[in-house]
Amino acid sequence: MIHRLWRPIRQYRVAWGFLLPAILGMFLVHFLPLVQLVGISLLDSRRTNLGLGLSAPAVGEGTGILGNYVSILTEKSDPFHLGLVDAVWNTILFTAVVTACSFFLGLLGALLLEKVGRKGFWRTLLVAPWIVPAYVVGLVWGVFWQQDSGVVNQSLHALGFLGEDRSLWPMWLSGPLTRWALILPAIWREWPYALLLFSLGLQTIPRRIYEAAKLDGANGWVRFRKITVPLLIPAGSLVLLHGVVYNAYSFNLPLMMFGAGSGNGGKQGDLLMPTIFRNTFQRWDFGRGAAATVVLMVGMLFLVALWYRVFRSDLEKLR
Amino acid sequence: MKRSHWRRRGPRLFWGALVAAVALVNLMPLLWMVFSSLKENRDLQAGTLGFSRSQSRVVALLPRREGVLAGTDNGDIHLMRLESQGLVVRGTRAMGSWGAAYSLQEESLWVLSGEDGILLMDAGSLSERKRWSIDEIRQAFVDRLPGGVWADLTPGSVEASSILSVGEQVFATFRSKGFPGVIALDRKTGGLRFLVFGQELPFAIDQFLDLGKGRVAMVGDKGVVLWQTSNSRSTDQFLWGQDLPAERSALVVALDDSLLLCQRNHAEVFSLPGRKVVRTLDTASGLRGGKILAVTADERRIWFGTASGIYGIDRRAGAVQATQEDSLDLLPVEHPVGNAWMSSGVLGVAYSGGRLWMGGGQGEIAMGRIAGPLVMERDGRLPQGERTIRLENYRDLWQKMDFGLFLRNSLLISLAVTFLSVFLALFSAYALARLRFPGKEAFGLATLATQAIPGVALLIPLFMTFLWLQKSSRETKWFGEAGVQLVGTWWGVTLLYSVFFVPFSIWILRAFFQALPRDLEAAAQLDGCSSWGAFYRVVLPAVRPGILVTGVYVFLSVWDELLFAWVLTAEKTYTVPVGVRLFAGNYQTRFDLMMAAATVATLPVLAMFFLLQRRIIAGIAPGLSRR
Amino acid sequence: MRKLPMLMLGVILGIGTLMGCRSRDTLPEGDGKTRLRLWAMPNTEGPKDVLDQILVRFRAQNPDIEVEVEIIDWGAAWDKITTAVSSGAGADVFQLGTTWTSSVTAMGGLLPLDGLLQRIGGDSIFVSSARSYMKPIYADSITSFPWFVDVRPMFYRTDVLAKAGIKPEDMFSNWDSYLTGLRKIKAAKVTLEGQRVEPLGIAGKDWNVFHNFYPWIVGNGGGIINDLGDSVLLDDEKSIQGVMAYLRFFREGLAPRAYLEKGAAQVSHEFDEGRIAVWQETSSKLVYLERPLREGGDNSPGARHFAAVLPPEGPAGRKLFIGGSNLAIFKSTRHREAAEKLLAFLTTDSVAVLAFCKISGFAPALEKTFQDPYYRENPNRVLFRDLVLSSKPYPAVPYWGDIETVILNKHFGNILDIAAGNQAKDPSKDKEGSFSEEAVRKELKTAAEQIRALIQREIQSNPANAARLARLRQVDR
Repeated sequence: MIHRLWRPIRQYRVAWGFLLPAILGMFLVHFLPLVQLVGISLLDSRRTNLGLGLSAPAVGEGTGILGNYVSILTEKSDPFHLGLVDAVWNTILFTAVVTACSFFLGLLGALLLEKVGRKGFWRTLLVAPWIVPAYVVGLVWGVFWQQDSGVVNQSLHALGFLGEDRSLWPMWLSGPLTRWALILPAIWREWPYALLLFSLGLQTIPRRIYEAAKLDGANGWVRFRKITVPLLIPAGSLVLLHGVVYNAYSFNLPLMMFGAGSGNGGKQGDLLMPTIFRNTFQRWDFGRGAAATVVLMVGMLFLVALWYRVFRSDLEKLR
Repeated sequence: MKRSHWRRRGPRLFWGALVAAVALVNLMPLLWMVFSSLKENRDLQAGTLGFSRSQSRVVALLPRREGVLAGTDNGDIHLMRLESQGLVVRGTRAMGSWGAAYSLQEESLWVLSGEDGILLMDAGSLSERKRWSIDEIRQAFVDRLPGGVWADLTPGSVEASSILSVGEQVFATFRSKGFPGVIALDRKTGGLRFLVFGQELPFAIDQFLDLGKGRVAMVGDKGVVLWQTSNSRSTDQFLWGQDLPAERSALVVALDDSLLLCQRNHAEVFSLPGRKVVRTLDTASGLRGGKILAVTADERRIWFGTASGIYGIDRRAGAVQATQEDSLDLLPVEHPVGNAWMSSGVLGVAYSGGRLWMGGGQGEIAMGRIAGPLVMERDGRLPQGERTIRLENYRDLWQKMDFGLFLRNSLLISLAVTFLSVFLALFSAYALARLRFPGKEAFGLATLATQAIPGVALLIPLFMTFLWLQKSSRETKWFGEAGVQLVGTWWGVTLLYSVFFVPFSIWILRAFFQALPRDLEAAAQLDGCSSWGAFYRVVLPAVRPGILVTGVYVFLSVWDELLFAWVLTAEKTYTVPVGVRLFAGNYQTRFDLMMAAATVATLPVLAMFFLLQRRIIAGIAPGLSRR
Repeated sequence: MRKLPMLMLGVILGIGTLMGCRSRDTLPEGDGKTRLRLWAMPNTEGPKDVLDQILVRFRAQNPDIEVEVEIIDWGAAWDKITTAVSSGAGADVFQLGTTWTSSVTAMGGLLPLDGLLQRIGGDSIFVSSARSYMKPIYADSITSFPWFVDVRPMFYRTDVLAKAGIKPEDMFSNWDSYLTGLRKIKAAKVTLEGQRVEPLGIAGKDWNVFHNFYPWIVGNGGGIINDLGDSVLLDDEKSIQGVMAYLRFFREGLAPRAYLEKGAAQVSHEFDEGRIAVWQETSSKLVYLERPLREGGDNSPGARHFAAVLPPEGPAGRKLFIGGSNLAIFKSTRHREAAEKLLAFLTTDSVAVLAFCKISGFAPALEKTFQDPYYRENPNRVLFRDLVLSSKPYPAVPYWGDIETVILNKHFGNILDIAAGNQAKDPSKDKEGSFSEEAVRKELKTAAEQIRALIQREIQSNPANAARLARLRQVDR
């Protein structure tokens, strides 16, 4: 028995030796905490018993072992529940719009770049917003969006789109427009990344394929559809994956944009990560915070698995 | 010929212009951020798109024979002359430092500024004759004072408070936490001395008054000191709340042998020989609630420059009789210098030889003649300040918060994490790409799956574990009194980040290893290398671009990490994101400083990107095509 | 290439040395002195210097005690204190926001101070409205002493009121006269120094949305929860009408809509710049407004023409917000006696309290401080005592923090969002982004239900709490 386990380890000891530090680290920082997280999500762990840590009591009787989950997902009177529901919808909308817009803008930008000389120079300039830290983007745009003094409304006014009466100017940081106040800067920061990946993807397509197609009489549109699109699928898949994961977990941007770092965007501006953060690390409601995190993570794992299924063959082809 | 030329060049120009336009629009927010960080907060708050000119707030009026010297708080001195068409500016000297103080003695103009120190100028030509810089002043005292009293006296961190030239001496003082005394400058020798008053706690002197006959009153936060310049000693001392009223007045004027103590809406006459308040001038009703901003006196009247205009009160009545409200003699002012013209109040008043000078908050200057009632004669306006780029925002940022510390923490943590996680990932990525072993697919998928884990999912249990570790280790005392501290220390976050970014690094690096030719190691081993040797000598150098890209990516991610840092760092270990969030919470109205903070937080990574961009982008390509 | 790993190791070790790995949890004790750590938030400018200055006398009186002041940012303080309580490693004496006292007490991190209180003469040395947090409702003993209180006078522009022909003593007497006055200012269309002056400034989204609503709810006879903290008043008609009275300022355009998305600090700046006539803020604003020009004071219109006044009286009397901070001692302190001395000095030594309140601008919690001429002579500060006496603290229950930060701030934030919308033409259609009274009522109803559920959970989950509550209810009768 022992022999059967030991043999593959001995046989591949070089490989395992190489992997050991990473496996050890990932076990401690990724795997173990995840198990603990699931455990915590079943506990009644809150501010008053924070000192007990993992030995906090399980959720109270009557609610069942999944009490935290039931509470945050269904209970109308749970303070976490309504915020979570708003935040889920906001996050879905935010992620979908930002990812889709970045994807298409990035693709258009990359195709545009192909048309000009000094590609490297322009690409560097276009990619710059992606380098700006997200918390800086949130802080800076929070100032830009100010209703009366912000540069957005002031510019719209200077260009004649807004009248003299300031009280009628759009309010970007409260009410329904909050969504766009979040989405636009996020696209601004995200699309350069898509552009970079698409642009590099385009470079890997050999010129001669296009020339051969040209000789065969294929016009521009056909060449784009039959050559460019299929060969850009790997890059596109990465853009999608990154866009979905990164934006769904967007934290720094919403946190810094609202209320000078208090990060509450209200009904239409609150995203999942700030909601969970506020409830766990300011209110110390670890049990329900963990439950919400588990739910969020399961959803994301599902999406990533879906992504992997869809694009697996495309990714394999390149090997 | 021409048409074909255009057919070839036309589209290219069009596309080029389009790309340039997109790039410009795209960079706009970034440029605007930097631009805003150089503006005045007033402009940002008001929504002014450009720079507005700074206002010239008159803080000192020094009458001369042919006109007046007007000093402003942004350090400009203007010589205004009386001419037939009004008051005309005939000379200006700009020093560009905020909060300057002035004193005039015959032809010598003394200027005290927080940036430049003490300056001696010629009152007629406004040319500089001599200067004692802040560094010189500090140097003169640093040896003579025990225990770092002078720690704070660096250019820009102090503001000029008051300067007075009397006889052969010049007294000056700064408004600064670290500056508790008075600088005494000998006009003949140019030597500097330092005076401190008070036993337990030193007086913070902020005003000098010339009482005549070589006597100077020094007004401070704890009281008033009388100083005799002829023999350089203090002759008397009055304390707020003992001899003087409990409420310290910030504006004090000398009236012969008494002091006029001005509060917000009323003034008290304090007799120095009598050691008591002999009269109260309740201006709240008389001056229509105007806040007292400046005071001077002629032979007959006391003149109050207030928020709502200039008012004169008969002095004889007051000096002879005790408090009698109705003896207040409000003068009819023919040309009312009030809210209409000097809309931000009369900030400076000075009397000399029958003329009363007045200065306002927006550079307004007026002269009236006192012959019975006050008759306005001339007025004029100081030129506005320059449209200046405010680099001071960055200095202020550093003073308001320990930004240097945050930057250092962020840089060091990011660097350490970059090295550690790339180092850890290298081997695994190599094994994953080049070696065959059971469970390879599973391990690869596991590293990918970690990317779907939100940070907070790991932070909740890790934070609880860290707390538990600290608590239980404190109880056992195995690791000393303090126990194992992972919350609030730099290595708590560093270790955590390092491992946190490993899977991601593996995922990128693997592609680079895969892109290497299959027989690279085999060739090296043929040359006599061991398998480790082949890894070091041949494989690693070949993936150097990949290491760079991964490193940059990890660095960027750590630089932009707020969640873990917020929970796991403390005062001494705060990183830039945490500092910026705290800053934004504390200084919600300082948009200028927020923009400066944002610029400082962006610049290092942006610079890194621009410097390395060619290699970063070149490095991403193989990783992409071979995923 | 063999150098690479060594290089990395070198760099990491180098960075480690640079950062200074030594932890600073315990202070070195070598010279026989007791070393105390004091955690305080930045209540003033230059907070550390101010406290060091105030502690000069303490150090002179107690040469054997060394106090190290550590300033903790407000934004991080709650996390830091709760973390310290649960990990057992923290300062000896520390500052607590008043509404935090009951939570932290419930976490079991504070040293009982009953003995100390007896020695210094009982709780009557503190003003009545500051006492309620000393011993929270579910606590068995005194766990903290009030240090200073945060009360909020109204500031108005004397010149604007004069120009609109309004007497301040008329305008600020009750809610009706207040509303009439504001409307008058609006109608007068006052323009001063080239700027149109709007009648009222009120802050919208902030870290503390709710504090601004509170006086209008209790002043109308409503409330959030009762004093024992076991039943909810937020969906009473009186509470709802209080909220509507507050929202009227925005709906009638008395306060500019732009302020809905501004924080208190920003709107305060608007007052300084002369764009609003009336503004309510914490008393420390006076320190800023009164600072003379030559000490770096402001010559803004607000600073030139202002006066402070008591807020108007509501139908149920004048009931105002009161906040502030208490000082407490960590249970795990190793220097109990010295820590008690320090706490007693900061909270009950009238010279220290007065000095601190003068610099910070907050009102003192120590009763006898109000006898000082500083509070009796200045017309703007004469109000302080009345402000403190006519305030009504939030109930000192351990779950107040949850109620305030999670439920109230969220729903009142939503209410402000609703107030920002246009008037709904047909209120039955609950269209997003439009205003109707029904929408506000709905928000309040939801908030009340959530508070109810939360209270029930808190009381049920802890049988000891339920028993104490039953006892308190009897006493109450």
